Parts: sequence; C-alpha cells; structure tokens
Amino acid sequence: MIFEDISVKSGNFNGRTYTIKTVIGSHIYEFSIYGLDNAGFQSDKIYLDNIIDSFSLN
Amino acid sequence: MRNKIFIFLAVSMFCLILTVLHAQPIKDFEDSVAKTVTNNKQEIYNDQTVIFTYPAKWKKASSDIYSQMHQLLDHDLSKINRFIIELEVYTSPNNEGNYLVFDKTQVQDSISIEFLLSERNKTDYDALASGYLTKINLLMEFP
Repeated sequence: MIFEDISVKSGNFNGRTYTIKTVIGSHIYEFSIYGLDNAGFQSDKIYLDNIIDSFSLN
Repeated sequence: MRNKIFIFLAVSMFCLILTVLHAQPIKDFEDSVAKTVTNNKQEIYNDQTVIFTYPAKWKKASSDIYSQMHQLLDHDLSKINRFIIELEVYTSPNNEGNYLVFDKTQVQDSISIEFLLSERNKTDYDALASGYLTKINLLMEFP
C-alpha cells in the first residue's frame, strides 16, 4: 500500500491531497481525500485513516 | 513523462473544478445499488474483491462533479492504457469543498506496488520541477 500526501498550488487554490493506493491483480485501488485548503484537509484526513483500517480483501 | 504530467494535471484540474463547483447546491445522483449496505454510522462498500467502510454522513457528490472527474480521468489514463472501471465521489459533512474519492483502475499489464511507488516518485518529481506541486509531505510504501 502506498501513502501519498501532496500540496498543490494553482492560481488562488492551495489544496492538499492525501491518497492511498494498492495493486490487486490487474487493478489499482485508490482512495483520496481532497481538501481545498489545509485546515479543511486536516479536519477530514481522519476519515481516510479509518477507511484504511477497515480495508480488506473479500 | 508527458503522460504522467497529464495525469497530475488532471488531478490538479479536478481540484480547481471543485473550487468552482463546491459552492453549488449538492444533489444526489442515482445510487450504485447493491454495493452498499447502510447501518447507522457506516456505509459498507463491497465489490466482491475489496471491502471497506466509510462514514454514513458522507454524501455522493453532484453528478456535475462526478462526470467531470470521470471524463478527466478517462481522458488522461487512457494515454497510458489504464481505464477507470469504478469511481465514487463523496462530499464531506464538515466542508462541502472536501471530497473523498475512490477509484478502481484496470491496468493492461500487471504492475507491482514497487513500480507504482517508483511511478509516483517520478511523477511528483516532474510536477515539482514544473511548479504544479508545491510540496511532497509524504510518499512511502507501507506493507
């Protein structure tokens, strides 16, 4: 599983994205939280951590 | 390198689209039935391959945002023979400008997690050099 946390600036937009990716067979599964600003990102990042904890193969 | 920059740009463009659209009223679009089971606090996603839960308070994004993201990803991933076969976009209950995105991509040739990490490293490096990415806070593989 890969964890990626990047900050992006484009024009007036200062966003932050937190992503986990994993490869299973011929598929890439990816979960991301997109925050439009750093404060908003911080408030919702915990949800992705919870999703990671619940993630399992069927 | 150009294709990878395109993918990064697609993500950045998506963020910009969200910036413009997030203030619009959110309307639910048709649910992708049978894959979710609701309890009081969590939704359960189950596609026969993977299972995960997400907060029941997260709502599906508007069809406008969903379709724009789907088109961007379809357009850019097809250049490297990858295709979106599942996409879910949810808005945060705390901030309608924040999104949870889940996607499942079909790859033509089998790839390893090490290859994927190497690919992201190169993409991020190129995006930093081009000025689209301002900071890599974390990029790591966790077993």
